[in-house]
Amino acid sequence: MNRFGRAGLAAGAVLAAVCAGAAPAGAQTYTSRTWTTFVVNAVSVPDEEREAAPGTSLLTQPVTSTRAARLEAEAPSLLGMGSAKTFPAGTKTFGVKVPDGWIYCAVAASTVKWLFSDMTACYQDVDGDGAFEIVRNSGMPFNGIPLFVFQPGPPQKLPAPIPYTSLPYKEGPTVDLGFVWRPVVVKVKRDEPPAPVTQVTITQSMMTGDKIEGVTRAQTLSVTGGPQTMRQDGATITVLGLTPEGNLRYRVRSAMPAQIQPLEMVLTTSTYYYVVTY
Amino acid sequence: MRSLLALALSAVALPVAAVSPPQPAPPPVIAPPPPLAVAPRPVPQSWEEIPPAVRARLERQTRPLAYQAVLKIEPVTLTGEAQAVEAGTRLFRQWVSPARAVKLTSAPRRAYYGDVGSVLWQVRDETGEYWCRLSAFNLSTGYNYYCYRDTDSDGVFDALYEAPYSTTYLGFQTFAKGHDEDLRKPVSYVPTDPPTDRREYVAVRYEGVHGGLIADDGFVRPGLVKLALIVGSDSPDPRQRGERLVKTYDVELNRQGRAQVDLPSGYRVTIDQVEVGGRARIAVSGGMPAGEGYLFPRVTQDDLLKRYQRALGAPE
Repeated sequence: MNRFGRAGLAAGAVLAAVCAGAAPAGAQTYTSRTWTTFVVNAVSVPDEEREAAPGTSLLTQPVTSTRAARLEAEAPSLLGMGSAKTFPAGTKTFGVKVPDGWIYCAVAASTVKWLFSDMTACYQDVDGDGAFEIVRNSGMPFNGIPLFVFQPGPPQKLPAPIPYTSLPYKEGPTVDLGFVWRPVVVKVKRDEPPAPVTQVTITQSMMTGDKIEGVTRAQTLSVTGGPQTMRQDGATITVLGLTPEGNLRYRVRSAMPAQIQPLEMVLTTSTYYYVVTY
Repeated sequence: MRSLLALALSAVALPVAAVSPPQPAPPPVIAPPPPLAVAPRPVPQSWEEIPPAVRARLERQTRPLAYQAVLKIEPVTLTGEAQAVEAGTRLFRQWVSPARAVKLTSAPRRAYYGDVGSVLWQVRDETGEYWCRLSAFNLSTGYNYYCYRDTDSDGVFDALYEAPYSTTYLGFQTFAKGHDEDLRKPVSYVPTDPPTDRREYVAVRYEGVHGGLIADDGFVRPGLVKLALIVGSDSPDPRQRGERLVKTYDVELNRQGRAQVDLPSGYRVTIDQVEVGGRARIAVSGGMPAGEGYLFPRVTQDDLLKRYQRALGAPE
């Protein structure tokens, strides 16, 4: 039984009956590309030999939006059930470019984690007077990363304007962009001893705390034939080998220089028209 | 006697081999410096006279005439003065309208194809001309461009194409021919005045920074910014009001954080001082020449030859 139960099946049957006598008259598919950008902020990392346990990051750099603002008064979120109703004064928000300007978003943590998701409320200063007049309920953070909003919700007027202050982008909300390593495990038969690790995978990912949010790029390196170097977005990491405990020995030759990177979402939608008599 | 001869021979030989003093090394020959000014490259007078490597590069820039409306282009003044702009800013507007039109004098077989008196504007591509109209909303097909063609130039349309519509803005400029709609019944037409309610603008919008390195002074260099060529209208008719994206251009900022790009429509955009948040200094010059023309003009070998001649300093 589907999640709509018998009523859902009945409705589906009626719809099928209507469509059965119809001919698809036209179907048009549109692909829209929406993009946003984020900033990888530079960090200083000494070039020295280190060790990291499996599943941990070899290099972590803070990521921010290209714009940021701070709420200067308590702001209602106007979000629905299970979300925080207000953001306190001082809350930092991240900027998102929209066709008619910029919106500044904050993530409202769910009050009932097992039932509801975190939601994003985005504020907009329509008249450019230094106060937000509207808020847009923009759903869950894109891909779980509390820094991206691709489809802002409809505008809702705030009960009173909320003053804000623009912040340097570096001071806005951050997530981490890390290079997380894992051993490449070779499967063996049940009665055989585990195969020695000869390769590792280093994955560049967004992270919230220790949680990886969406894999971006991965490289596989050998750990048996001497030092191996990977380069990604200006970062250079040399893998030296494994310790007897299974940790990775490595050096960070250089971290990613400060840079802007794009993130693109491709959305394909189809529209079908059915004509009963034609 | 024989010894005297030997002595005489040795006397001749010795001064050369043993008595001659060592000669000083000849002074090094210093080549005259090359002329400071590079000799002017000869200006080619024909396509064949262009050096083969340059010619091959130019050949790739030739473009046939893309499917598009024939425009009556109004003049625009673009000063080339740099201004600070935010991402999402429309840099200018140049107004255009249909250049020529016809009207139907007989009815096609379906109402949404048009009716007697329907005005159609001219669209062209490399293969010839089409005459287009935008349908009213139809439940089965939505909005569509219907473009007629008189393939044998006998004053009667004998082909019809249905082209997809824009979901956001219903302007007269269409860029896709669509599929053959099987006209079946030929439709007659006569020339008429172009419609006056189809005036719309062409604009370039600065879309913002799309990537790049952030220098210590906070500017992006090198990097990538995006420009969008759009068409739109302020028409009081809500169906004809709005904007539509025609094409997006990726523009690379060099190591000085600067870029200059010549768009096919004749606009030269210079971009500088791009900030992380997208703000930049942008100047626009050029523009589509006033009169009849195209948004994406045909680029021929002759156009490129003239451009190359100008680059070499030939007079206009």
